Amino acid sequence: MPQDFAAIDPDWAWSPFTPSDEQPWNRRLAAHLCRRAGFGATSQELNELLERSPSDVAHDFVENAKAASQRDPETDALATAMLATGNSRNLAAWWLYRMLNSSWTGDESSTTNPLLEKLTLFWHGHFATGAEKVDDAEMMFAQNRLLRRHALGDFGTTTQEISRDPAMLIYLDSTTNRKAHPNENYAREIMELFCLGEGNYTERDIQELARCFTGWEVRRKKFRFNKYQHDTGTKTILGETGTFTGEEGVDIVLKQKALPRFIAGKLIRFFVFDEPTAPEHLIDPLAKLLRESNLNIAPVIERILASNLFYSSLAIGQKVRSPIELAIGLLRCLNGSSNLDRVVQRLDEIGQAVFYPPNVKGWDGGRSWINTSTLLGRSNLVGELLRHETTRFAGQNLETLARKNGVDSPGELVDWLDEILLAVPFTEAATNELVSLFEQATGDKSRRIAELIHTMSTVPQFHLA
Amino acid sequence: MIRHFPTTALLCGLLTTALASTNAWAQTELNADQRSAVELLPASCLAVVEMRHPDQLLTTLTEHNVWKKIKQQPQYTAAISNPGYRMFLGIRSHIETQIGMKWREAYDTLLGGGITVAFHPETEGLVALVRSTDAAKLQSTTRTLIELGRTDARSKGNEPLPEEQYRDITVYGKKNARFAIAGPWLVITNKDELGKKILDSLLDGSRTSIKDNEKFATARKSINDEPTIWSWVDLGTIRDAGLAKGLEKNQTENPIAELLVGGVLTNLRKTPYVTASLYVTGESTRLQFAAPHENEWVEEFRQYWFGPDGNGVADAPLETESTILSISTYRKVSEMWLRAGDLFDERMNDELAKADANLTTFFAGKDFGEDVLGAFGPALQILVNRQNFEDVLPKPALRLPSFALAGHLENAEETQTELRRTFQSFVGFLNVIGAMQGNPQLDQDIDIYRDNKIYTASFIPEPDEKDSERARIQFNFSPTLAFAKDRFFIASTKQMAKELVDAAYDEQATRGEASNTAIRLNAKLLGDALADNRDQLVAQNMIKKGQTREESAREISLLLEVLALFEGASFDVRTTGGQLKLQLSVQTKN
Repeated sequence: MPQDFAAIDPDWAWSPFTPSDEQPWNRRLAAHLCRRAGFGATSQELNELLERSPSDVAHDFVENAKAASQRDPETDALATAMLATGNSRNLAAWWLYRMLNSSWTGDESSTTNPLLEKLTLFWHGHFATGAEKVDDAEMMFAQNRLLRRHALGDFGTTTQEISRDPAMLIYLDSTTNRKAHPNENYAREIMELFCLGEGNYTERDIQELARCFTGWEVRRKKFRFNKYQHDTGTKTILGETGTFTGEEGVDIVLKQKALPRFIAGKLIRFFVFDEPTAPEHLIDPLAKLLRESNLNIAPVIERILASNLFYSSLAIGQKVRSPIELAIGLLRCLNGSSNLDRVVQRLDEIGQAVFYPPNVKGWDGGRSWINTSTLLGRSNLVGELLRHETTRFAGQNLETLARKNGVDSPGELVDWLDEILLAVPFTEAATNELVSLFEQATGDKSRRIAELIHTMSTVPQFHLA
Repeated sequence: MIRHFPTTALLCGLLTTALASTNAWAQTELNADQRSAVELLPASCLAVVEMRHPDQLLTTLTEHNVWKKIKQQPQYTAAISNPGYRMFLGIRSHIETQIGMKWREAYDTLLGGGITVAFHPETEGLVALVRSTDAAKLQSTTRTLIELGRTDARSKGNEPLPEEQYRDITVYGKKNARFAIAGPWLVITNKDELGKKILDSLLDGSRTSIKDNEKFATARKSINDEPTIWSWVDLGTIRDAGLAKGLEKNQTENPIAELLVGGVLTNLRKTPYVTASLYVTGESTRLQFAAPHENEWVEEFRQYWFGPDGNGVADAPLETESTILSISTYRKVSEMWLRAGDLFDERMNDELAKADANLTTFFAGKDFGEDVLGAFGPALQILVNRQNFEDVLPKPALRLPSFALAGHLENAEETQTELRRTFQSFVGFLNVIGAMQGNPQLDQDIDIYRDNKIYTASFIPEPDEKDSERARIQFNFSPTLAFAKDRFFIASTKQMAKELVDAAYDEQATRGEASNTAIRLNAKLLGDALADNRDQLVAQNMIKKGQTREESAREISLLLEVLALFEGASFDVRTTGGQLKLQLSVQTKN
């Protein structure tokens, strides 16, 4: 397998991964898939995945997520309860609850789906909207449902709907858009950040597209088209001329060749590797697939998750865990639960408050998750999750969890944790060091396991996904 | 040496026998001693706590419905099946075998004569006197327990419990933690000197005891029925010794605390002593504080709290069938507001001055302290009712109880007009704020109810919200101002205002109580109000504790079940029979 990105054959890269003697389909690879497609998996879930091929698993993941996107799980009743308080911070705890209690199975009774939540998080960062400015939990919730409903669906529909989403319009100062003074904010962002990327439009295109959106307003928390304020004149956008409405303006943007490449590039960065920016020849096959499938996201996701590139050393351990992946991943892999209100606060402190992205560009991700301040905060978060009075593992504690997983000796324990929690395994020397540390530790077994995991979290590779 | 040995041995033997006989004689004498614990305590003790029948208390608690309910819970089953508890049971069983009694019999026997704890200022010592109902069993059990402890200490390489003699009585332990058995008494103290005083009293008979202390004797006489636990504190001596500096402060920075307990502080600055009595029965738990009280002690600036001649009495709570909580007080708030300079510190006075200016503007230039608050009578009530949403649409998702302020108007005819105008201005103000925040608007209306005008305002739902069962929080409210006779009601809902008007006409409901402050909580209605929001409570638990819906629902059900075991709670402040009495009571279903 080539290590130079420029030398990677795109056909090889996006062909389905076939396990071999050199790279068998094992728990470590399955854990990699679950970390990227969701927020990790328990030991038992990993074992179940090994009964199918990687391609079948990726297919099932996508199909289950698609089915889940059309269901109203019981957590929506939880959302209703959270909304009654009118606080978007409570809504953030609700979303973490969904992520944590999601299930890989396609069972109708399952609460939520990890891939669906992961993609909703991706779109939340893509169509970034901050609750601080919107200041209305119900609108943030409505947008979140919109993103989830279309997470694996047609990107065109998502963009059309998000363009009329009250939370988005409030966030981009577009609650009133009069023909005398077209507001260019949304027109700029839809081209620069949501669909095309820089260099694929001109300032003139922005001004003309802004004219299409005139008459679009938000009144009493709802989208309203005010025909008297709409500019019915002729506009020229991205080479097309006509008396376009807002919807038609969005359609013109959606038709651009740059769009599938822009989206495919972002999906590669989110699911495969942080750095470097994917070369064009790797993006092109996915962009082609996206266009051919009428901008449907599901086939692209399935292609990525089943691919050779995804299971290669160019992808494994080549992403920095986001704070949410770190916290929810730790709890999920260890079958844990905790006070999610508290987790929301801690995530805020280390740079990822859901519903509160830093700006319209969303979270930068990658190396930006780590700095001197967040590094300590991340370690403290792990420590607090492990020791907080409300945290339970396997319904009880870490000793119970280890026992239920048949993990007995210190060596088995370190190996087991290494396999389910780490993308890049520890060296033998590091493993021996951890075993020795565990043996020398005092206190009850749960406490010693907690200290062991906390120690593991201080090693840089713990923060890689 | 050999020649003298028999003589020496004989002398030693005689001495040992004599000492043993003396000890045995002394113990026999002590066993026959019928004096109570308070007759053994020095007269200068500052605080005494007595529990005369610990056995009865334990019986009440273990046979209580609440305890039975707790025992049925899976959490209880889980707790008693954990290894730590099982180890405890094993140790208990071993001790029971060694002492020849089950734990309950041992508890009843060893503590059955009562427990008395006292603080003695001269020695700065605490002493506990525990009287057994069977002196022999107390002796044997103590010896067995001491031996068990010593064996355990030796096995762990620790120093066994030391002992020494004091006037033929064996005293165990080290300095600052000693105990001795003297007849039926187990004496435990942290000061040797105090311990010796008690043992001397036991052996010699005390000349004077706390029983002869005048303040103590007066306090004891005032006990009507026998409390489960009774305590007495010589507050006068504590104050004179400068040990209650907190009571010397006249001013506070907290108006709420002043309103609630200002009068109590006045009393504590003068009263010679305070008693606390705890009564525990199957039906209720009642904690009563009492202190001598004289109206002359009340400073001029606190007369707003007690009323003229100290006879200020709150209205009987205007409770209706749906009242969860009622707080009825006698407070001349206008007087408190105008005397703020005497009652509050500089910072709070600055805050109150600002508030006064703003409120005066809000009330169209009328002086807030003198004209507005002055228009209200001193008997004020705050009431909280459970709302009935059965026939109401839209129903809010979060269902809050309604609440109201009720009182009397000094000059009803004139003040009603002012209040109505202010109410209407306030609703207009809410509408402006609501419009800015995208909230629903209030629609004002006037209703006639029992020949009284009711000024009300209702939120107007959006067309798609009219039939909602999960509407916004605003739909819990329909602010209302109502009048009946000389009374006024400012209620959060029209329904509650009407209920209060009904209650005002109900002679039974307005029957007077002699309390200065009366608070009543209805546990059933509180449970019902919580049950109205069960989904919210379950959701909060899921998020806060990371529980599944089932786990969370189970926990909330348990909370509601436990609440259902209670009838309610009450708190009263009264000045009666030369005493200021505070009583907190929790009523349970048995």
